[in-house]
Amino acid sequence: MMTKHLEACHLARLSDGAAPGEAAGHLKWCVPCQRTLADYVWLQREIAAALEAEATEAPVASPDWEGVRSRLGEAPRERPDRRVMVAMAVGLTVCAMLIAPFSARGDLQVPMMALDAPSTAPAPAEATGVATGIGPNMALSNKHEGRTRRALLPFVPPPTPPEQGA
Amino acid sequence: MNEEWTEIKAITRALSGDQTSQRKIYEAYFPAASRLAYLLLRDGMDAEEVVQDAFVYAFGNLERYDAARGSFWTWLRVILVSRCRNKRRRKRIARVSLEVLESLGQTPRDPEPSSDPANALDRWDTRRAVYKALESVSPGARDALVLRYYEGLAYREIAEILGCSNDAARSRVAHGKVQLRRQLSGEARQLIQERGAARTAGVG
Repeated sequence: MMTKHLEACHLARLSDGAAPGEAAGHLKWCVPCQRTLADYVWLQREIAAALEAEATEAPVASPDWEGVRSRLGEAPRERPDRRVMVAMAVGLTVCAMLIAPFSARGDLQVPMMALDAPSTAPAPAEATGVATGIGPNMALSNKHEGRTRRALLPFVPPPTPPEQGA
Repeated sequence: MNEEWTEIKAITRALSGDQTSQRKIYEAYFPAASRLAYLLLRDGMDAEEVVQDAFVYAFGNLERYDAARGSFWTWLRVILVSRCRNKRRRKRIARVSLEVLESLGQTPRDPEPSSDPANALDRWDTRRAVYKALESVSPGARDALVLRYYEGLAYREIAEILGCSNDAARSRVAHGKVQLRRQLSGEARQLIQERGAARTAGVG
């Protein structure tokens, strides 16, 4: 036999139709618990009545269909936007994951910098070509693209082309 | 059955952009939506704003409504309750005292007419006390109480709307009732003390 009183929450649940289980035995003889349970049953009815009264006399505005209609034209449709956003987010994440290892190793720097000592002096390049990495050096640098890390040489300006007629 | 069929028909037409059907749906559910929003927010203007938001969202995303899962009102109610909760969160709603609400004319003003004024007054006092005590209940528990005892929803439905488990919904309702009872007991004690003091003063 349970000698301890039932908890308030337990009684509140019982008042709303929860199965009593072991509590049934206690409730048969415990007057204080019976009273509390009766309180909750009464309270339920009063809550319903109070809310109903409140709702009935609530200051309900008159319908404003025009307000809704005018906003409907400008309301964004959420579903397609969300899908596109999710797809873009996934795409960006995948891209970032693919690029991150290269970026961390510095392989994404201008490729012409990663040159092993060339056996012959490279052909002179136009100034703009050197600066942007577009020019004859590209072929060499592409050849050296790989997964192995190598020391990056400091930038050395290409040799001055021999003067004509020298 | 006929009513359901009409609603589905109206929704089908509304989906294709028929504004007459949209308007019919709006007018059919506006009163119920307004009352529920008012009970949850306890503010007429906030309720009006939230109800409009909910309808705009519902009509803008009508293709998401699945008649097989429930009535339009069931779906709209989920949207509405969610918006009410967001609104409350944003506003960190101040618990407005009953006196202030009364001064704004936003509470039940007069007890319903009755042939027995004493009984009517008793009922009015009880309702007023319960109404006042409901203000002291935590928002989560209050939402659950409104959905359970005003909307008359099953715990499964409450759980779906509030985004929690059945057991959590049951707990919220139970906690709400415990808070309410505690509050009412305190008030009753205070009333008894006040009456006792008045009686003593009268005798003295």
